[in-house]
Amino acid sequence: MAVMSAEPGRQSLDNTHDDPRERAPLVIGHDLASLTDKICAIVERPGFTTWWKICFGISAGVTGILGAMVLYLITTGVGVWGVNAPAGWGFAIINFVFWVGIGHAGTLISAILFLFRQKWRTGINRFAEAMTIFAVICAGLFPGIHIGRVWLAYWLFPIPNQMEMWPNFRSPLLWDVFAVSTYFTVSLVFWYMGMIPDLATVRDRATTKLRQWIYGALALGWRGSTRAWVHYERAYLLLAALATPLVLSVHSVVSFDFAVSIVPGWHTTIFPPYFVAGAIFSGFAMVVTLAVPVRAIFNLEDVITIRHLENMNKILLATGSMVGYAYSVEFFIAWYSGNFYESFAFTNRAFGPYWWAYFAMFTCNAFVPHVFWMKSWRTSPVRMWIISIFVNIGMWFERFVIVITSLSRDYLASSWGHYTPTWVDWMTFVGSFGLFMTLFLLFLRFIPAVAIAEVKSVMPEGDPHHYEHAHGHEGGA
Amino acid sequence: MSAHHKVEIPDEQLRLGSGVSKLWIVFLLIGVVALGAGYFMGQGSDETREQFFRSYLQNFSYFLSLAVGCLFFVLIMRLCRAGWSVSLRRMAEIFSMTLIPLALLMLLIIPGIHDLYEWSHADHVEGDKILQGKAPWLNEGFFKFRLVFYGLLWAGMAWFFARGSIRQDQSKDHKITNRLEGLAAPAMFIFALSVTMAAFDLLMSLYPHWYSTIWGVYFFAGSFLGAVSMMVLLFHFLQRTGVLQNVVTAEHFQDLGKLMFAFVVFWAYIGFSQFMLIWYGNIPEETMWYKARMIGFGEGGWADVSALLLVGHFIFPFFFLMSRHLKRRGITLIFGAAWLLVMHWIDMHWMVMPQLHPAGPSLGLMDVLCFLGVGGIFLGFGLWQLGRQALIPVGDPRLHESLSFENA
Repeated sequence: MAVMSAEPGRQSLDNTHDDPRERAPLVIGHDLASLTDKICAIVERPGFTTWWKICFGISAGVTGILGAMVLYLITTGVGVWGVNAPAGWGFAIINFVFWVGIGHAGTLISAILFLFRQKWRTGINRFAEAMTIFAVICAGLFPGIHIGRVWLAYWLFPIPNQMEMWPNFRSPLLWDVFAVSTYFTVSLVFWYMGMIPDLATVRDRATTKLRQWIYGALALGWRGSTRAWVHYERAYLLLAALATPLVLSVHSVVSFDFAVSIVPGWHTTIFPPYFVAGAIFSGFAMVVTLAVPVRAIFNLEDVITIRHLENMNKILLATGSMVGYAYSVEFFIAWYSGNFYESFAFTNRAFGPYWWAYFAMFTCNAFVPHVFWMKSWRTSPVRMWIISIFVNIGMWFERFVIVITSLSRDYLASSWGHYTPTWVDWMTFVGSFGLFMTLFLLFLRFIPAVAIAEVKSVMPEGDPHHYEHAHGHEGGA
Repeated sequence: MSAHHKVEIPDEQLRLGSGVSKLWIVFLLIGVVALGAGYFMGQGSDETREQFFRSYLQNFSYFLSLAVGCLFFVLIMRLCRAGWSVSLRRMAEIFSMTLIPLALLMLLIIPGIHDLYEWSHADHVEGDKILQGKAPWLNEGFFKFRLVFYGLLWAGMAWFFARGSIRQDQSKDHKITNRLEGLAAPAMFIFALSVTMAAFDLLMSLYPHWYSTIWGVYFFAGSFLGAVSMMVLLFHFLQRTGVLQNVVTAEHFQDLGKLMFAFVVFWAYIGFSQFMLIWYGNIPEETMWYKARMIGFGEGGWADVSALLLVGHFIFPFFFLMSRHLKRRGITLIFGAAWLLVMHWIDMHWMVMPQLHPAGPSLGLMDVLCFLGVGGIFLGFGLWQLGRQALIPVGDPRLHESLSFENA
């Protein structure tokens, strides 16, 4: 095999070869023990590194801005935002959809790619799932603070009460409450359950009483018996099967928020699958944005290999093309329908007062990812990182275009308006990144960022027959 | 990765038996005779002609969808560098090549344009502003051009991917795999756009005022489900004749069953998205399509067919295919696959027929003749090609992965 050389540890890190006669290795130059050492070392290192402290300081500061903005909003009222008739939905909904979308990659990797037996997912699933949890937290914040009287937020839930007050079950906004909270719960359980064997590993290696006690509690008494593993794998499969429809349902329900209305540009039947594709697209972009620096900082190039990144970029290309497909079909049908308002909505998007947002969306989502047809772009961390930023921006603008252009100019020209976000809008949005990064940095510091046990299962040693034949032979994974 | 077991398969396991390899002539004859009979019986009156072309369009679209689904199977497995499905791929390659005779059969829609498509009548278009607006797309000349274009495009793609794989049987050249995997990506691009547009043209434009952006995806969902179900039946049939023993195993059938399950759900998801959004929006120009399918509940109207699809195309197969046991047992999976192929046919019938028989479904001789006609040619051509090649891609460098594949 091309990748393997005589000296372990000094192997080429390029495993992107495409020889159909042999599967490429997914972990380069590790045996089981060295892999455990490498991942656990990140968590076990005493104290905090300088870069971590700097990043955490900035993130926490930005989270502080978020807190200040929310406090200002609650004490003053939603008038501090730019929302007003006719655009009653502004940044809050845009950011909500944006963050929910970001979360989707984690669930796709952990559930759907698991069912598809994509072994490379093991290298990235832990922190992609973590990203899911944190993104959904950020997403849940926005409708929560958008409702005006936040102290009545529990009215979102159908809690029996003496006032006979019920939420409107016919409203997709209520379906959102169910969809997102189910999604969050299942994702959290899935993430935590997958983590138990690794938490036990950290417990067993602990050198201090406190560490032993904390990780011991979190590991829920895991002893790694065969029986426990059988149960674990069965539960994993079941949770994957449960989470798979959730990947589709959550963003489908989010798309219903728009598509059940008869607002031109919103009411179109392709919205559910189109939103799902867009969500996975944006989520994978965020995974690339985070994975590239993380693997560089922690020297994880031999665990999250170039092949992993290349595969992610291929998924970006595929889902980006699906989004481009939806844009094109929508545009075609807007014309084909012969419906004046539909075709106006689309010309207004492209050439109206928000043309720049449409331009940003179309360029970043439908054109830029196509550089990934070239292998040199798929396999260069710097280049893919830049592209992933473009996609993040483009997908945020997609939601901006959908929410704002349709609301600000619908059927009645006399009630048209122009939405302009205020500084509070901007600061709240920026602040949500602070919250996301703060949680992510805490995760990196205290939880094994790579699923050690799962990666081992795709190494040659993970094959049950590995030790029976060809002892010492290092086959591909 | 599981161990490389060198599996030696006797050559006669990989070739159609002599009895079966002649069957294609029978099917082809049935097809040609039935189609000819239908066509000439259709010439009797305006009514019979309309019935013939409707039935023809429905059954043509049905078998087209199976062939298109097979092409998708080939492309997606190439694109994902799949190992488990290599021994199944030849069947999909061969049956995607039925797109060659189907490209010719597509031309038989042309004499029926006036019987099928309202937009092709100049007098209708004249008094209709919306149809005038669509005239740049929905006009006879361009429509015919597109039919020929789709036909050539798909036939070319199917032939190209099948030929590469067949060449590899002899040459064992692994670079062919690389080349086809690379080309599968742009091919998928072309596939998605052309199938969408063809679904718009052939089926959606039957109601020229109606539109739905998800239509292409709906057509695709049913197509792939139908194709996988058909492959299950074909493999079981071949195994009954004594070939492919230990080559296509319960492991493969279970995975095909999983794909069926997944696409039962996907079909329902897409169908529900389309229905729910149109129902909720409640705009007359959109609801009219469903209104025609929601009349006569309990009275043999189209509403009964809609209900049947809900139960038979989703709820029942959803629970049926969930079981690992039922997917791995031959007889139960055969039942599931046959069931879904019938449901897929009813789905196609439900899309095409309500315009001609608004009161409710009425099956007649024409439906039978057109089914046998297109189906006979489709199966005949497929079996003929199958008899000329090895039944699995023997030169594929990933074949060993498929042969030793186990569901972990």
